[in-house]
Amino acid sequence: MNALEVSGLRHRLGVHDALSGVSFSVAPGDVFAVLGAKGSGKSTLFSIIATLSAPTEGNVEIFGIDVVKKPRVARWKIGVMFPSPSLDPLLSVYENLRHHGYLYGLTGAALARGIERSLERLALMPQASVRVSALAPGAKRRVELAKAILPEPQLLVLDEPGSGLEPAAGRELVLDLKRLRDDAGTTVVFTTAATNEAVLADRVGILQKGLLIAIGKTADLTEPIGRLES
Amino acid sequence: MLAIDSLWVRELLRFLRRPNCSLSALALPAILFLGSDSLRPASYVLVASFTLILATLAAVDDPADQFLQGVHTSPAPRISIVLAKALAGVTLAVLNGLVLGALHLL
Repeated sequence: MNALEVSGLRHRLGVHDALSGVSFSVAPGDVFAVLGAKGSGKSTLFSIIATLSAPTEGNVEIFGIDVVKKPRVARWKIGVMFPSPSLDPLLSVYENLRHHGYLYGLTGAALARGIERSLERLALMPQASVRVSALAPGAKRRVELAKAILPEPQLLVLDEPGSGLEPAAGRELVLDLKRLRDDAGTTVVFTTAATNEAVLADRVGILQKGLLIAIGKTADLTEPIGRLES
Repeated sequence: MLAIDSLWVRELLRFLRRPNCSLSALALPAILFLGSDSLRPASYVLVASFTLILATLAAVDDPADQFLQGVHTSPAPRISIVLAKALAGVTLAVLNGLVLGALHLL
């Protein structure tokens, strides 16, 4: 069973198609990047996979669960990271994670262990008691990621994880995702407009004006145009 | 239930950590309260109304922060957001009323 199966996905926004029949699958444990420029349909695709909106046509299954028919069941399987901050700036790093854990039914020792593990994985322990509003942009993105991995999702879905960061910090965040996959076996799907982030994935799909124009292993896609230097 | 509890506590923390909110909810009613005995019952109604209006404004602020999107993509039922917001608004209104009541007893 695939971690993510997208078939014949169409989504109409007003008078134009944001997605025009997108199909692809992601195997468990893969790191998959959806690369595309602004307006290519990346965020629409993200919001459908993240169960925030329903497609006009087509199916999305997460580990065999249809996200349109059973969104609440699918939500137990996914961790989501948004392009702009979804943290509460008035709460500390620890408080943000604690509140997020409660939403997944985590309490007591299990929640404390989960928070500790997430903070350690992203080297955020020293900032646990710091209010989010006082953090640097890079640290805020890492807290977002810590929040997404707290319930130990089987599939991580991220919309432009490197958004608002320096190119090097964006790449470092994608490397964090790969380390997470190596440690916990989490499948990762992320959208990006940055080629230097996409090339770090195992496989890449290139989205242009709502159409998936290329998909394959990163090396296979980059070989014809030469190796990209970061 | 856990989701409602969590979101409710978050609303209370947010209110307390924004001194401008806490003060503005109390300021005008407190002035009226201190002004004349006949205005005291009205000041209780005012403090409740002001607090609830501020709680509603906070609900408008939330989508801008995208905090609630994280709630929407969690398995917590969406009704928990509505209930937590309503419960927090009522709690804050009662707490502010109690503060005025304490002033009355002084």
